[in-house]
Amino acid sequence: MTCRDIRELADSYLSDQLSIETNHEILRHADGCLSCRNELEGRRRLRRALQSAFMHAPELRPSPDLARRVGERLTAAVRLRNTDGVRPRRPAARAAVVLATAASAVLLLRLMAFGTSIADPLARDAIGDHRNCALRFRLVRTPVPLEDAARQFDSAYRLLRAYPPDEFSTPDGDGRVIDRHSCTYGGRRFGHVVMRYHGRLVSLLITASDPAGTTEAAEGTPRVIGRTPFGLTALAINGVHHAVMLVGDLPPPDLARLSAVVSAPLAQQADRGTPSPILSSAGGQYGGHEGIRDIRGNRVIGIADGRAAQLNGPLIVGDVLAAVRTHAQVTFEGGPDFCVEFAGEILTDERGQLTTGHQPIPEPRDHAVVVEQASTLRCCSLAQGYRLPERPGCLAEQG
Amino acid sequence: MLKDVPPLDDQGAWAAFEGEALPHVDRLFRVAMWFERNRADAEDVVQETMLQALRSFHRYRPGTNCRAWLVTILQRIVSGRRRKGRRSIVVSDHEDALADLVPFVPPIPQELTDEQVLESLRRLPLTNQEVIVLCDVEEFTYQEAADALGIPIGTVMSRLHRGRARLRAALVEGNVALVGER
Repeated sequence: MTCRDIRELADSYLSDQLSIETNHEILRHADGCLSCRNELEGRRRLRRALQSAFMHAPELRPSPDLARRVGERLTAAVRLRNTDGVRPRRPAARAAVVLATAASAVLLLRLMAFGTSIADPLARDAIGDHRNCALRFRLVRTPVPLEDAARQFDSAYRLLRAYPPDEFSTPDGDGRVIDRHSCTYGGRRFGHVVMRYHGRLVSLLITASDPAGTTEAAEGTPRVIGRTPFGLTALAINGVHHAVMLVGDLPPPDLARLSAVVSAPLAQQADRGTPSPILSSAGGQYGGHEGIRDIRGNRVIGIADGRAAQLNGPLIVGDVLAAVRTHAQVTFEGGPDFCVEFAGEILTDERGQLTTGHQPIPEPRDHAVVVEQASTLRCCSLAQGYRLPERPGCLAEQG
Repeated sequence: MLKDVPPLDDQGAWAAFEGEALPHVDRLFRVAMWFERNRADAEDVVQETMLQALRSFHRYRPGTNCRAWLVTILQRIVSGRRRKGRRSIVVSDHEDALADLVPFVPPIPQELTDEQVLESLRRLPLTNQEVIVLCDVEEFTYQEAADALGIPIGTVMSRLHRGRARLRAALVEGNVALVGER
């Protein structure tokens, strides 16, 4: 694919009109061509600016009561039979609503409640995405893999590739991930993790914050941003760059507690890259992971505290895995895009395999590294996050 | 005024309309307001769109893009109002020739304000504005935009291509007069 091809296809690529194969060709070309990367970024910037201008231009803003007035007129136009089978009197043109039956009143109240409970456009889109994607599999456009979406739209989606873990524990119980992808609803793109929790489907969503949103960094307290008469609630943590939401039909207090555990770490990491507690996997508890930083500002993660520990969650470039016990052992899956440095020496070979004493470990996807007391392993050149698998037999042991 | 609305005493059907179509009222208003340039007219267009949508909701295919379906209805209403002479629009018939006035596609400025973007969009011929609003703002597919506007998909793509180039030129130049008479 040539630069000329890129320029002809760029807008179609950014509007999701092309096949996955063509998208990959474009990404491959852009990886090696700064000019085309800048062109793609410029056009992406213009699209966002257009969408933002439309959403926020005061002259285009609807009246706050427009939805309610439209609903009233629709209700006036709908002919509902009352329980006696008598047609209600047809109202005059543009007259006020005449509610002939209790059923009509209930519908109108539901309509008004609907109109007032999802006034927030972010809540509307998040709930719509949960309903149409997670519950009904009825999206107009096919979801795309998170890595593709991260490269094409927003690198924050990459965080969802490994977070939350496939199986996770909370104080209120365990949950598991059903699916991870990126999808769109209402013109808004989301990173989307569908989870099953307490027997219900819950959506964890991340999206770019509205440009006129908060200037405050993401805090850990989620707030309700929308609720439907049908029992769906949307909770959000809004940051400067991203909003992280949880949508489901759990009782709101349960959803709020889940959000504090699942959404808050993701929101912090998405917004500022600050360290956050890594969710422990089912059956284990990790200690010493409260996000200590060293003098260079790298996140330091202790990997042994005297108990068998399991560590899950994405590691990022600069993370320091500090062993504080003798012969602490770490296993993790890696790929060709990361390397691990120990005391100035790179431990991984060109294929990303860990070595000890320059002896490559034969199993490429599951490595064990024995480290000495108070030694550190530093992750560097990490192109994509990876996670430590649940392997109790291979994890830290007592020194 | 809408006549003969089919009875919606099926709460499921009403709930479906409530859940699928009503959430799009505000976004429909923005599109209507862009093309009508008058709040009262835009609200009338939205009201009429939703009433017609309610009337023909049995024709809407669940799972398809409801907003695109609603905008198709909205565009028909807007076109009908124009034909009736409420707004006299002369679509530029020199579009092909004007394309030659933008031989060079300039780089997109780093900083873009809402005012700059909207003002530049307003300078474009209406036919370019329509496809840019539907495809780049509302993120319709080319086919959805073609259906909404009642034009071939190839025409959508060519108008988009020229419209985007003109938009970039307008952003940079600031005062390129490309619009036809309205």
